[in-house]
Amino acid sequence: MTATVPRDSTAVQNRAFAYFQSAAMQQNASVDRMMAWLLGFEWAGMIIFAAFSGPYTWTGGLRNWNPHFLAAVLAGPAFILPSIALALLYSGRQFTRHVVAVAQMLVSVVLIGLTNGRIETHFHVFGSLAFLSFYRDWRVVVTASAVAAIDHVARGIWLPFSVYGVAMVNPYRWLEHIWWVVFEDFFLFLAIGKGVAESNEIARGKSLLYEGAYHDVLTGLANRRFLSEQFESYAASEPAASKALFFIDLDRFKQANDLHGHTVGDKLLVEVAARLMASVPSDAVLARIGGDEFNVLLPHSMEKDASETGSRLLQSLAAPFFIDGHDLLLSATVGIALYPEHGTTLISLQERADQAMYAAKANGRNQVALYRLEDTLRKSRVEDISRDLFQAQANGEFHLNYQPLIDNKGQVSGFEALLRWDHPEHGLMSPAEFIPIAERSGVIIPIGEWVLAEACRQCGLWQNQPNRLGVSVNVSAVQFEQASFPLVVRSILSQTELNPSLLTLELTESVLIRDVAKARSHLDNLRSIGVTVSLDDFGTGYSSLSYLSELPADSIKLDRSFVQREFRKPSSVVESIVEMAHRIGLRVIAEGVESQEEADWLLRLKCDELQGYKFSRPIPAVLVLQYLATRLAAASALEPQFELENVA
Amino acid sequence: MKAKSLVMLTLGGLATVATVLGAAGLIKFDVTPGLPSRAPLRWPSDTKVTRSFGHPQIVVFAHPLCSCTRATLMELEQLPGTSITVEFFRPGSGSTWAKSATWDAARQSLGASVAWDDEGREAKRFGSGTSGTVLLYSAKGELLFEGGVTPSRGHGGENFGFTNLAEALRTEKPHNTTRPVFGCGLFNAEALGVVL
Repeated sequence: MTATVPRDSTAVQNRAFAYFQSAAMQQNASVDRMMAWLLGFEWAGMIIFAAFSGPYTWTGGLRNWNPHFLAAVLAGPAFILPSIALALLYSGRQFTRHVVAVAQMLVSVVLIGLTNGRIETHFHVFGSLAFLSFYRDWRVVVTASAVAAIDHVARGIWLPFSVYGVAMVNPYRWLEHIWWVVFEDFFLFLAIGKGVAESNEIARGKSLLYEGAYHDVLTGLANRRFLSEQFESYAASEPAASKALFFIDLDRFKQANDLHGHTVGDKLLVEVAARLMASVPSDAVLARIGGDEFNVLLPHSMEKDASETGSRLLQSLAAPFFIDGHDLLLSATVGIALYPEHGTTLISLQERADQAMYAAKANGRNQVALYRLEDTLRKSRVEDISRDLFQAQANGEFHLNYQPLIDNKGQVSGFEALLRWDHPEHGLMSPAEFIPIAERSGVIIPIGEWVLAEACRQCGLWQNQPNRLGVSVNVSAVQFEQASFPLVVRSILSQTELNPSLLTLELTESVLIRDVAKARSHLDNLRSIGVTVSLDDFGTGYSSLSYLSELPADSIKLDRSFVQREFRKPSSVVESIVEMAHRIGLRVIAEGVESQEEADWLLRLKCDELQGYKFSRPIPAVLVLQYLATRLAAASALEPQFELENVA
Repeated sequence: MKAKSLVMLTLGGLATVATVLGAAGLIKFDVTPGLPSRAPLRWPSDTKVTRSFGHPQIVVFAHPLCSCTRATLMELEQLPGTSITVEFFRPGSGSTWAKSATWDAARQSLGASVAWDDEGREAKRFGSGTSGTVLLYSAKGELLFEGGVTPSRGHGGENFGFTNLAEALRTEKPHNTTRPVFGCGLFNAEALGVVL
C-alpha cells in the first residue's frame, strides 16, 4: 500500500525551511550554552594544569611567573571569556558558533603547547571537533579544522618540536597531522549531513501538518483558521487601517457538481481558486471556507478599491471553464463588508458580507454588493420566517387557494392548488418569499406533504360536480429529490381515496434535470399509478426540447412571462412549441392569461388549457363551488373573470 | 554600521591581537636559550662533583624548581647505563628549599647521583648558567659535549643536542658544537662572567 504524499508546494518548502532554521537556531543556541560551559571548564583546567606543571620560572633564587602559566591564565580574557560571553549573549547566531569554534581550537593549541607537544594532548583536537559537530553545521567544523591546520602547518614548519614533540624527523609530518583531522572531519560531515537531513524531514513534516491545519487541501488556498489568524494579525498591527472582506459564493455550482460529478466539481473549484488568486492583490488573503464559498481579505482597502476588486473577481470567472471535456459556465455573487464600518471582528464582517451576498443573489446573482443595513434587516426577516415556518403548519397558518384551469371548450377542467401563509405578524406572505426559505431549511418536505394531502382531500370533495375536476400541485425540488417521494404520493392518494388520474404534479424543468435518471424513475413510478405530470414554467429555463421527449411527462405549462412576452411581440416560437408538444403527445397549458385577446390568441395556437386572471384569481376552497356555479350559469365559454368581490 | 557591531568588531580585533601577541610571546619564551655554557675542556681537579672513573661521565646542572628541566631528564632516560650526576642548585646551605619532584625524577627515573650545589659553586666551576646544561666528559676527563638536549623550554623530542650527546657518548670523541640550553637561569650573566 502506497501512502499518498501531499505535494510540496513552494509555501510548504519555504515554511519547512523556516522551521528548519528555527529548530537549528534553537539547537545551536543550546550548543552555544554547552560550549560556553565547556570553555569555562577548559580554562579552569588549563590554569590548574599549568599551576601543577610549574607556575614560575627561575633565575637562581629569584622567581618569575612562568609564561606557560600566564598563557593559561590570559587565554581567558584573550579569547575564552569573550567567546563565552558571545555564546551566552548571542547564542544561536552563525558568527557566534564560528568564534566559539576558533576559541575551542585555540584551547587545543595552547594545551598542546603547554604539554610540550605531547601526542596524547592532540586528542583534545578530535574531542573538540566532535563537540563542535553538535552544531550540525559543517562550516563550523571547517573553521575549527582550519585553525588546527594553520597552527600545525605554521608550527610544523618552523617549530615542529612544539607541536609534535619531535624536531628532526620528517619535515612534512604536519601533513599527516592534518590528514587525521580531515579523516575525522569526513565522518563528522557525514554525521552532520545525516542529522541535517533528519531535521529537514522533521521540518517538512511539520510544514505539511501546518499546511493541513491552515490550508484547504483541495485548492491549496488558506482555510478559515488561517484567515482568522491573519485577520487578527492585521487588526492588531494596523487597527486603524481600512480593510475589506469579500464573501464569494459560486452561482449554480451545485448544479454543475450534480450534473458532471464530484471529480469535475473538484477540478472546477481548483480552477476557480486559481483564477480568483490571480485577481486579488498580492497582500490579500484568499480562503476557501466552504464547498463553493470563498473569502477574500484585503488588508488595505477603501470602498472604491473593494468594488474594483469585486468586479475583477467576477470578471475572472466570466470565461468558460474547460474541464474533462466539459465547457462549464460559472458566475459568482460577491458580498463586501468593510472594516471598521461594518464590523471589527472577522465573524461580524463575514456575517455582513454574507448578508450582502444573499441580498445580491436575491437581486439576480452574478454581481457585487456592498453591505447595507437593509441586508441585516432582510436577513433578520429571513431568520424570523425560517423559525416561524416550523410552527406555521401546526398553528394552521397555511391554507390553499385554487386557480381554475379552463379547457379549450371553456369548461373548468381542474384547479391549481397554491399555498398561502397567513403570517400572524407579517400578514399574507408571498410564496416567492417563504418557499425558498422553506427549501433551504428543509421544512418544505412536511409542508409539501401537507399541501399534497390537502389538495387531494379538497379535490375529492369536488367529485360530485358535473365536470370531472382535477387538481395540480407544485412539487419542490427538495421534495421531489426524496427517494420516498413516490411512496408518499401513493400513501396520500390512498388515504384521501382520490383517483390518481385527477392529480397532476407540476415540476419545473430544473428539478428534473438535476438528476435525470432519478427523475425518470420517479416519474415512471408515479405515472404507473395514473398520476399525471406537468412541466411547469416552460419557457423560462433551458426549455430543452430533448428533455421533453426523454422525460415521461403529460403536459407542459407555458410560463406567464413567456406567454406575455410572446403575445406582445408575436413570433412562431409558441406555435412551434405547441405543435411539437402535440406531436410527442403532450398537452399544452398556458399560464398568465389576463385578457380575452390573449385567450383568443392562445386558443388559435391550439393550447389545450388556459389559466390566469382572465378567468379567476386564486380563490379559497370555500369559494370554488360558488365559482363553478357562476361559470355554469354563464353563457359564454370564455366570459369575464370571476370577481372575488362578487362572491365574498 | 551599528555602534553595537562596531564595539563587537573592536573587541574581536583586540582579542585576536592579544591572542596573537600572547602566542608570539609564548613561543619566544619557549625558543629563547639560556646562558651558554663555558665548560672546562678537562674535568676540574678542584670539583666535588662525583665522577665515575673508567667511564664517561655526564653532569647535569639543574634548578630544582625549573619545570623545563624535566624534559632534559626525560631525554637522558634514553641513555641507560650511563653514569649521570645531577647537581641541583640551592641558594645556600641554609636554604629551606626541599627536594622537588625533579629531584625525585632524577634519582628514581633516571637513576642518577644527585646532590645539592650550594650557591651554584659547581655550576660556576663548570661554566654552566642554565638549568638543563648537560656536560659529557670522557673516561679520561676530556670534555666531549656541552649544551642542552631539548629543542626548546620544557619540550622533549628528537633534537640536535641529544643526537650530538648520544653520538659523543657512543664514539667517545668530542663534538665541537655547543648546543643551546633551554631552561631557567642558575645565575645572571654577570655572576657567570658571561658577556652576552
